Amino acid sequence: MTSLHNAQQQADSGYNFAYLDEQSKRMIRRGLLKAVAIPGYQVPFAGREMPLPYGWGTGGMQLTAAILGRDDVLKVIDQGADDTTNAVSIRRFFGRTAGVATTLRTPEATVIQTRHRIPETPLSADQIMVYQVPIPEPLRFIEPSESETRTMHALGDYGVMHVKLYEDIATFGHIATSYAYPVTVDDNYVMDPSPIPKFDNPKLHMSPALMLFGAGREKRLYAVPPYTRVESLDFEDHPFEVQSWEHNCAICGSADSYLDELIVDDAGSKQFVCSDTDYCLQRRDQQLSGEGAQ
Amino acid sequence: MVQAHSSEWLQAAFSDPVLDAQLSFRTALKALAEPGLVQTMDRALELDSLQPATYALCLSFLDGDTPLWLAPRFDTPMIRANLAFHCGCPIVAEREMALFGLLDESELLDLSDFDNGSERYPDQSCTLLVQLSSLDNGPQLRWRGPGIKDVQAVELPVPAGFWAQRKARSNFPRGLDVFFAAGEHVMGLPRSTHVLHNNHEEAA
Amino acid sequence: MYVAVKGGERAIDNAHALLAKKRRGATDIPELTVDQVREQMPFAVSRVMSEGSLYDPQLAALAIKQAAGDLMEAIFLLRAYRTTLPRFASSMPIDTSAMQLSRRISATFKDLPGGQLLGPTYDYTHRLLDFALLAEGEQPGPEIDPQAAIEKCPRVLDFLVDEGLMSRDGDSSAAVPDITREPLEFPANRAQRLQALARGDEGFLLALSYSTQRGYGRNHPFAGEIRIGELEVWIEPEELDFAVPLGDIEVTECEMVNQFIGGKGIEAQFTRGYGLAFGYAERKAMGMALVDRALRAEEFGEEVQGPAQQEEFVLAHCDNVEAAGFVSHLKLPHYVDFQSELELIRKLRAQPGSQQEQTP
Repeated sequence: MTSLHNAQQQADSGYNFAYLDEQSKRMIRRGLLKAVAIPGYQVPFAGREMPLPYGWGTGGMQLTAAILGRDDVLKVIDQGADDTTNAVSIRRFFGRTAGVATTLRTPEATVIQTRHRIPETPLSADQIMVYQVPIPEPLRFIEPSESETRTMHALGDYGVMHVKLYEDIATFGHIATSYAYPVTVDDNYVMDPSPIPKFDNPKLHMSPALMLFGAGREKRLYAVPPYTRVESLDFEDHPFEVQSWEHNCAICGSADSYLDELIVDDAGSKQFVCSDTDYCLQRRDQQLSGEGAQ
Repeated sequence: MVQAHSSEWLQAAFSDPVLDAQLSFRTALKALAEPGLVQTMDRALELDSLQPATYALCLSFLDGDTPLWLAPRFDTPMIRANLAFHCGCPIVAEREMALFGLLDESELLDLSDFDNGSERYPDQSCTLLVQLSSLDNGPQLRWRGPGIKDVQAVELPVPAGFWAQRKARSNFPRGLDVFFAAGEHVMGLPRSTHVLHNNHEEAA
Repeated sequence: MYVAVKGGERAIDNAHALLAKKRRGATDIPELTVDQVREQMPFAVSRVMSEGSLYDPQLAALAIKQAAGDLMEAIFLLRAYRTTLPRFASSMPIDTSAMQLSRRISATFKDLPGGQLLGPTYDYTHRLLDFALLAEGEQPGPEIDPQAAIEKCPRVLDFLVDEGLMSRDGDSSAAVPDITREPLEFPANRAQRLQALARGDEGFLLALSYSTQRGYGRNHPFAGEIRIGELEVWIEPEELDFAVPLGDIEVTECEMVNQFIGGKGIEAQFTRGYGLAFGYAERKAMGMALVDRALRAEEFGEEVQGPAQQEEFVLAHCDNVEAAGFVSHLKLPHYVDFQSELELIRKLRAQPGSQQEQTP
């Protein structure tokens, strides 16, 4: 860990540590406590403007800013990759404003801010996942009114959600939701797991890591504590199942990770590679060192 | 308002207000996310009868937006002056108005007036900060629920009547969330935790 | 290849450098100064201050320069700066009847105490391009009559209130909620609505107010009074027993007179909508007043027929910083979710008995 601490950058002194002022942090922190105490419930909070546009991760950034400390090691991913422009931009922001150590390695990180993926490498206790959430309300596309959806959550009235999923089955023969697939948290609230592919939903169930979700524009935050039951909605005759590929990763050969599809030539030929760049790289490194040892 | 003469009561709070608040909050977050486990919270000194962990909770949570109810034992000029100066939290006489309550063990037998939120806004409930003499050597109970892998054995020295009070105020998602503090240690008890007495469930 | 968008810091740095070049334009043309923007683009500055929720003409002008004239970008810059500022005090309510007027008109009375004061306005200009502005040159400005003085201009709607034809907009003297510090919950109250509208996008409010005129929640408006001018902002510091002035700001205020409520034993009264904006921002203030009135439908027991009357719809979508951010985020990579959709659509099509196979 020494090398990581050496990698700490000097924080910009023009702003408070991690950008947000202390009162804003306290407000978000109090909200996070309630979010943890009521798993899956969306806590309203007075989201602040961040110097990045709404929709680009301001909710996740506010949570990260509120929890981040000097000894944290931050990893930021977008689409599973550390080197996508948005991930680079956010990682750079906290490098500048908090001077924290950053990493690309999942096991080294204490805080992982993510957009759209959960790492393939199993998470551990003492890690916190921070999810960027665009629309936190799983019922929003069925019922646009916040007053109504809040009442539905209060009554545990999720019939409309089941009706919607069943209509999919009637129309398409399958549930036509492949990402942001709704889950039930600890048998109570129905929750939007953020737009992760449903492939990642099982990773939420009984995870040793704390999961925090931040929606900046919608001004909501919510949480799944460690070791919490998280079940994807389904039906007895149409059980939940995750995506699978006929291919393995073209780089590391992984047969069980989430794959990105690349179009590699004008003829539309396809290649499939791991979406989790760190996972893929570690596998590749292991293979290479294995080959080198032989 | 800080009284003119209250400056003589003032003591130092966090030595690094930004980082100590962050560390204390993270400890509190962990305590609430992993109910029943003892966490170390040692970033503050004691203040009058407030032990270090209790005071650190106050310093990290409270500000002008958080009305606080103060148990009589803690309602001293020194504690009032320091909370007013370092946190700026309004201190309220009515429990119903409080977003935070600062309690000692003698207050645990009546929690009826603290706000436990509403069905629509269960987050708008009071958080109780309870200072005990220790966090162990009480009767063993087993906790279950989010944040606990299987079952967590806990030996909090609190009167049996507290559990009845907690149950009476619990109707998930409504409920009271509690931090227990002793010395430099803290333990979280969110409303989502089920507390088992002998083999049957007591709290919802 | 889109994956080539990976590439991180250097690509981002280069993009920023290109943007700076784009903003500067041809370097043989003198660079625009912030002072020039502030003094010569007062309407742009007004809009950025209003929707940026910060009264600071200099910083608004800086934001406009930095944003290369993209006002929404400038508004966002100002907002992001504002959110980092500490709050020292809340001002006392401003008194718009004590305004140093530069413009005051009423469409509801031909003449009234204080008179109609046109002030600087585009209203009666013929929209002909003024090619003289292509060349640099000083405009002569109006002739000043040193004897002239502005008469006292009582508020127009107060005449209607005094006659009992309209209820007074009460000062509840309750603490004013702050939508930038407390989450907005629905239903909201009028103070929260007005705050949201004051920050709301001028174009959105204009379109909504227009929709009420065209029948989507019609409420028969008259421009009761529009006044523009400077007024003093006062604060009452906690440690002092008296108020102190902080400085002058320019504001635009619009009060609409709208059709009646009453009946069933209650005497008919006009209703009103209120608009207020920083600087000289008449279109914004009028749009805001019309939408404020439309959003009072429930309060007055009116049937909600149009989008402008739906509180959640209006308040959730009127903020252009939020709207622009969320629309623009579609530019971010979404290939993981799209891969999910590809997998799903292929699965649906591969099913035995799928539509594809049923229709040869």
